[in-house]
Amino acid sequence: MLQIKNISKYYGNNVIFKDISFDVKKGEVVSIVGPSGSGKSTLLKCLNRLENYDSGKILLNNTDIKDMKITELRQKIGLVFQEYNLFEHLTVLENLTIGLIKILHFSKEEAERKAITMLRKVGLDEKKYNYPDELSGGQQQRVAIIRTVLMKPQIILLDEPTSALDKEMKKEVLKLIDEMVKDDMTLIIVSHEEEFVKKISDRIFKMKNHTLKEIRYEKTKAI
Amino acid sequence: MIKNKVVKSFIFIVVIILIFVAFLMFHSTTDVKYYNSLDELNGEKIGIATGSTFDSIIKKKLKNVDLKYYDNAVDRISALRNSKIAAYVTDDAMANEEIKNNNDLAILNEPIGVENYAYAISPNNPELKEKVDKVLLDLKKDGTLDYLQKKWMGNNESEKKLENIKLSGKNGTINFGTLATSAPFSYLKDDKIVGYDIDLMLLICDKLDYSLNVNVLDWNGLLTAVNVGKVDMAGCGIIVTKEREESMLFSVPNYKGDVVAIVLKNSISNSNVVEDIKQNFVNTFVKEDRYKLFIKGTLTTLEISILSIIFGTILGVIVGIMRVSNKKIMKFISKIFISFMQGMPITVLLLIMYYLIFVKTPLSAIVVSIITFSIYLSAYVAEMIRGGYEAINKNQIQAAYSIGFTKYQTVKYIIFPQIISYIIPIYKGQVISTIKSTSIVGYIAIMDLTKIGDLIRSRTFDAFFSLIAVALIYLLICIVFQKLLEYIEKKVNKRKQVIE
Repeated sequence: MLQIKNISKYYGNNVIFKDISFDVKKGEVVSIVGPSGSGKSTLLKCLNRLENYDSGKILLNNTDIKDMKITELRQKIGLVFQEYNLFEHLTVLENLTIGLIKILHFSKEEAERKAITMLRKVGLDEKKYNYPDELSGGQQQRVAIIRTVLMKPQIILLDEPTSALDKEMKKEVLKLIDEMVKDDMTLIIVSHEEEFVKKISDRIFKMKNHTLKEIRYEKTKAI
Repeated sequence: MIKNKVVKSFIFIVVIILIFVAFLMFHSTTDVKYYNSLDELNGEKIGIATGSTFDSIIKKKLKNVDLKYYDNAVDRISALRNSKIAAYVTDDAMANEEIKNNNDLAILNEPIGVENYAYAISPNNPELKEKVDKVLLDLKKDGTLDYLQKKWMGNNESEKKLENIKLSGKNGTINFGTLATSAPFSYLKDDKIVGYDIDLMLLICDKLDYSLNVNVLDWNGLLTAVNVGKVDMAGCGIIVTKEREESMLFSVPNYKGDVVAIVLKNSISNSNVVEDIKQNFVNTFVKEDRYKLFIKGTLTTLEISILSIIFGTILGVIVGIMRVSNKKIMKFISKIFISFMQGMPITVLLLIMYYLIFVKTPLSAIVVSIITFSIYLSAYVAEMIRGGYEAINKNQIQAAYSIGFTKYQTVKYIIFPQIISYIIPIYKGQVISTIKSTSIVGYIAIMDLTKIGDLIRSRTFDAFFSLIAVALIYLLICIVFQKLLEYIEKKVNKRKQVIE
């Protein structure tokens, strides 16, 4: 589904990463671990061209992503941020429906129905008229994940989805990601949560010395 | 019972202002001194008109005087009544008008000097001077000047109407600048500018086959307008001086009169305060349907304010987008523009636009004022937009791109709504400030609300009702705009609705 072939990125003379290659199949969960500042998040952002890479190729369904319309690419590869990045002037419901209405052209009623269904699933339907700053970190991150899932992308990138959260909030978010795995979504996760990634991932890569290496591990029990 | 909060607040403010001002007006603690001869004025404070040349005459006649400058007769009379000056000096024709309308004033018998008045003429038009001079000499010779002087400076008010002349305009139009606050030379009557100078100009234009366009200007702008060619001629008690002759032409004298001093009358009967107030009210609003002038002035103020706000906001958004752009050249140009506008007093900018930049264009003064206030407001709106943009968490932009929004959609649905909700409280203040700033347009011959108040004040010699009326109308306009913007703010900022 997604083929990353020898991509490299530099900032001036600094190497961010070099010669990164890996494939992701449909329904696979791939995790990338590694120390802070090793370029994991930058690599993730290159996959939906929020960042550009200097050499190599990324193919989505055998099409070079640089040949695709950028908005089309980003509808196919969604990204959940470490800092949630909800739209501050919109309610939870509006955050979830704005993409459905303005990009996927659902009617307002249909969009709200879909959004409320998802919110009920994660126990947040009572918060639909709240603004982001009225939610906890865990609640915001769950809304951010739902916002991406509702757009029905082929692949979802999760960039450190629990780094900004405390222990209790982490549990809520990890539970939701686990549900996504069970729903056979294709995920690429950058995370520090080694125990969690071992439970849900099909493959784990480690970023070290600006390159990526697949690591062998024993898959632990699912949550 | 009045339920509306806005109306209640407005009435409360009006009552407080009226009580306060009436108290100041009718409560005087100053001892009044009376003067009966010129000699008694030695060493005293003497008022004269700003820009007049009476100071040299006064200094020849009186010793050690302290000269105080006032823009108009109303201010001079007010200063005299409040004992801020011992006397003020003016020409005999204006003095007679002033004592006619103010029974507590008197002219000292001994004149201070004699002066000749003439028309100032554009330095680029010596042919016009030649033509005007010939006509004036002819009109002097055949007694017409004497006739006009008797008509406008006499006591028969019913005779004081402009000559019924239909001007052909075959040779073009003379743009004539005047003050309209100096009876009997030029003043406002029955919604028209009339007076000796206007009547004389009608006769001159008739003889020379011109039509006449009268522009009412402030004293400070009158001679400048002649110098830069904004008007072809100007008149209203203009005295020829060597300094003025260096930058413009002058006609042969059109009037010669004594320079006299006006003082407070020694014995006046106790006037009835209530009757005085009633009479002042009638003079300000009822006589000659002057209330219609307030309406006219208000409409002009509204026209300039509304159009300036609309164009200024649109231009401000454009400059604001340039200001936050990634392109260095756009940023640089917008930064220079904003710094320039924010460092320039609006009055100076208006005068530069009217007397320098647009001087040769056919644009009306109203259009020039709208352009001026629009570009002035745009600088402030642009800075608000920059501030609003910088306050936005930029990660939201990445999030918008990530769900598939284009740049345009991100600006439309994510960036702009948040900028609007941040800046609207400050924008409200700037809109009100713009409305109030338009009160300076009288400098460039626009008869807005403030100018109308001035003109009426110059006729009634009473400051109270005309100034209070002008203040209250501005207050009402500002309250209406404030409420409108608060309504828009609630619509834009849904969170504010919920909180309230």
